[in-house]
Amino acid sequence: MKVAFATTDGVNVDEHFGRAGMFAVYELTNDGYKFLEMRKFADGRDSAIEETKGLGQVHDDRVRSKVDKLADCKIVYLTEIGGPSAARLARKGIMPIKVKEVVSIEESLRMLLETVKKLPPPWLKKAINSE
Amino acid sequence: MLTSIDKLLQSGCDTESKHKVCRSRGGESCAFDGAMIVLQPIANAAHLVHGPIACCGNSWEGRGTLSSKGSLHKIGFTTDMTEMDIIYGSEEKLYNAILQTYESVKPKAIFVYATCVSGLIGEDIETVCKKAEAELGIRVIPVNAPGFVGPKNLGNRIAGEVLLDYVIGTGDLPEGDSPDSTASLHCARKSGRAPYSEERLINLIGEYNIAGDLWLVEPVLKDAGIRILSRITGDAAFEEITYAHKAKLNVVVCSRALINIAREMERKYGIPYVEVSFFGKTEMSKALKVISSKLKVESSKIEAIIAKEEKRLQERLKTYEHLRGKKAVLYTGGVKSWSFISALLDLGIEIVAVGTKKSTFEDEEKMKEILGQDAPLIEDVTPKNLLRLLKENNADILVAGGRNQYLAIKEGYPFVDVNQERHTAYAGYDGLVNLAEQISNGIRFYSNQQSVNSHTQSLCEARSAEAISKDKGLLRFARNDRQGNDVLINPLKHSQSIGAAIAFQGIHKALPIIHGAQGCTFLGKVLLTKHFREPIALASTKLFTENVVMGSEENITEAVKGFIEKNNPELIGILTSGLSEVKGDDAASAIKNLKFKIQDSRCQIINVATPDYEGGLEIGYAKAVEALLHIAENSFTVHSSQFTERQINVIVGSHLTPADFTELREIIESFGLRSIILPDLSALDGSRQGLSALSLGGTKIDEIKEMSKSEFTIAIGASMETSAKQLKDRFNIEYKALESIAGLRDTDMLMETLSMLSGKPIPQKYERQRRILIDGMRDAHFYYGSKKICTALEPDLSVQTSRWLEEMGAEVFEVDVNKSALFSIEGDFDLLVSNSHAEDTAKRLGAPLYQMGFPVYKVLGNNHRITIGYWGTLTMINEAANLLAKEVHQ
Repeated sequence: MKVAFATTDGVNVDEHFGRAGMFAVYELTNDGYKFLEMRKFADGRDSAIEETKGLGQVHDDRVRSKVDKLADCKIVYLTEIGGPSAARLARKGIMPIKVKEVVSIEESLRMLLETVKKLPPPWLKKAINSE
Repeated sequence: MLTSIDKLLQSGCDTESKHKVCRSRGGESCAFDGAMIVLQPIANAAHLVHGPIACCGNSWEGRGTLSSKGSLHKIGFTTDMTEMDIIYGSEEKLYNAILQTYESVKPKAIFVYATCVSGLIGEDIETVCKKAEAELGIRVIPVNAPGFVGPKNLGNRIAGEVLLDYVIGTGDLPEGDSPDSTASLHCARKSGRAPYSEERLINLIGEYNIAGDLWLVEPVLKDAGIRILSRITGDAAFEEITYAHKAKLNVVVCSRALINIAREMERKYGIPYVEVSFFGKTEMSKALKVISSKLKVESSKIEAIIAKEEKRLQERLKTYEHLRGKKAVLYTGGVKSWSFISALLDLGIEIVAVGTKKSTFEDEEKMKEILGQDAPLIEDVTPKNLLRLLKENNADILVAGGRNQYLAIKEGYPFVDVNQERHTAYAGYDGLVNLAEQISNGIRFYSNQQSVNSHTQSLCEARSAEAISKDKGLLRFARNDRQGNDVLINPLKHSQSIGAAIAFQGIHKALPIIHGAQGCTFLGKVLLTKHFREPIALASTKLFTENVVMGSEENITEAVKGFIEKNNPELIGILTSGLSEVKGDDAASAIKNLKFKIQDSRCQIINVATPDYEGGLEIGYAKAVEALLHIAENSFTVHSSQFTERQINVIVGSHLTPADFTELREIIESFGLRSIILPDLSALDGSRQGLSALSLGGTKIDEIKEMSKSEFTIAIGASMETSAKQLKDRFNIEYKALESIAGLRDTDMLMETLSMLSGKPIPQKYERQRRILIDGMRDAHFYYGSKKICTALEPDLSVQTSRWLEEMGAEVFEVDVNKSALFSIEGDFDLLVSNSHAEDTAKRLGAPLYQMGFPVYKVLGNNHRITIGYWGTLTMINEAANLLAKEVHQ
């Protein structure tokens, strides 16, 4: 199961979904996790979504495009997310996880793995075992 | 003003708007509710909820949308998931439920909604829908918006995406009207009807026809030569949405949550869109101008229509000139606030405060543009602060959602309901007159407490006649097949958490908190408020996606701490939901840890496991009572083992009305006994005073502690026997369980028990009532002989009711609430005894409906109705006999 993290530095979950120019993608299994790739959307801040807010369909196109490129992930960690993006993710069965404050990707994965090993919610167990 | 309105209608936003996303501003309910609000108005499609009972049970028939295209929006379909479904999966059950739904009502399409529990266990509803679609040959559409993914407006957006992905663009204009067909064009001309291509076709997006709003707007549009092709979704048929892409213009009606539909249709089909409001004269006229300019209607024609309508409106509003200068406090669901501001200003009403808790930043900007930069926008919309705003500003009226109604009533302020549960249409020019009338009625009532005058009554009657004529267009369904077991249609059942929440309303200074998605609490609160017509104490730990993935014990801690600091409750009850139970939350240990952290507080905290995938209202209520009794156990000290003379415990089930509690106490006290009634719901009869987020006027915590010293326990209702036994096992207090305290024999048993306990004879007052009852039974028995009466009630109430009906000579058929549904009830009955939802079922059966149980909201007075003892029995016998007698005369 793939998990994505909105990040500016590749180390922390520290960015808004729309603004994130980079997502770190990891593979999570019952036994552990490993880094797969850094999925890049822009150098630094991704202004594609932010700057097109209020521009109707142009904005929607950008949201859809970004969501589609993360569609193979089951969970996406971020600090904040706008309504349209959240709706798109939910429609695709992707769980957006909002962190309350900046946290390291390593720590997030460790906690997630602990949940998987200890007492995973049923959908998570199903998702991780189906791959 | 016009300049400000111009700015409102720009599709972009000139002002610098900060990006502001806050979950609490997406609405107080959940994504599931938000999705259903958008899609359910499609009234010839079935709306099947895949989850435990709470999601459907708390909300079906709960939204004010009206339809002339069908009646499926008023029918509740649920798979009613059980624990076995959760353990072994229920995709096969869902598949069968879809097939059975189709067989039952032959819908044009079926929407299948995921909920927290089905979402949490990872049910693949997309695959099931595809399979069912292949089998049935109709559209079967998955709606993946479980409550925990976010707030209500996220659900709105998800529903919009569903329509875009599955419905819009999948159908063609009806045969013979295709704009591309020359032959059809020719035929259409011959028939004297303009083909679609020559008409000005628009779609309405985000208009839900609440209380018939749309029907006050469409005639004016027709006047202007504008025709609504597809309604998304108020008063919509499924078919019309499939060809929405053929329209010339999309009109988004004050609903930013569905702006995604309009934007996508512009990109995909090249259909431009505008944003309008239909509330108030100013907005309605502006809407007509904007729409017609896009459609190239001659401006002179539009101006003439507007002039005519505004002149007529001006004439009709003369009756309401006295509203000018009145002051209003306004608090509505976010996207409607600014449009109601405009409507109120049209009436000359000054707005002294606007609650913005549910508003987005963009909404606030719109409000400021209408009211000015010093607009009185208020973030704090707690009942206490709303009351303060009303007083400080010397306000004349509160304009808000129905849940705030009882706040206004308690404090004697006129109130107008403008949210989705309302019953009066406010859109268009005529809608503004309705709004003026409602406000005027409210103000007049409170100023002189007189009833409405004959002029207003005639207006009401005229509107009722109009509503009746709309009803004639409703489709009627005749059932040919018996419903299978995998789907409940119009469920009788309610969730355990509803039952537990009811029990806590009977504890003084208590606050039940549902540990689940916020929709569980919101919809439960709306339902309880409707039934009891009182403010309801109920809160939520608000579980979202991250709580579902990681831990949520922290949510309990934060919620409890917050409520203790803010409200200072004496008791907090954590009620688990299907979501938290399936997720595996250990609420009990979270509470144990919590108690260490709040040692200083005198607040008691208890846990009640109330998963909605098993049992029902009555069981949830009983579990809450059992949990409450642990307070008595924990306070017991070995030293003071002495019983308190003439003190008895009375543990009362969920089947009594609030007035029954008062009657019961009076009966007991007339024997010289002192009773501790647990719980005590008597304050829900309207006598409660003061404002609080807590329940007030019920059993006190100190009284519960004293229960260990009572001489005897009476359990009222079979479901209460477990609690009575609990007290006996722990404190050696003998008990008697009374299954019923209505009817002649069972009331005699109550009286004899009290007489034995007190050593006193039955008081003269009740001996006299008994003689009156016997006489009344003789008068009424003619109407009951040979009659077949069906009861569809919770078990305890069903037992009690069947007893007195059988005493009268009727033959009684009891429906099992936990396994059955209203839609399945068949039989040649003379009377149906059930809750308010059974109205349509009674019509189908051709029997009158005697409304009892939960919920009762379509008749007044349920909370003041005494249904126990000799007096209550006689009242019910006569009421039911009158219904039966009417049947005979017909």
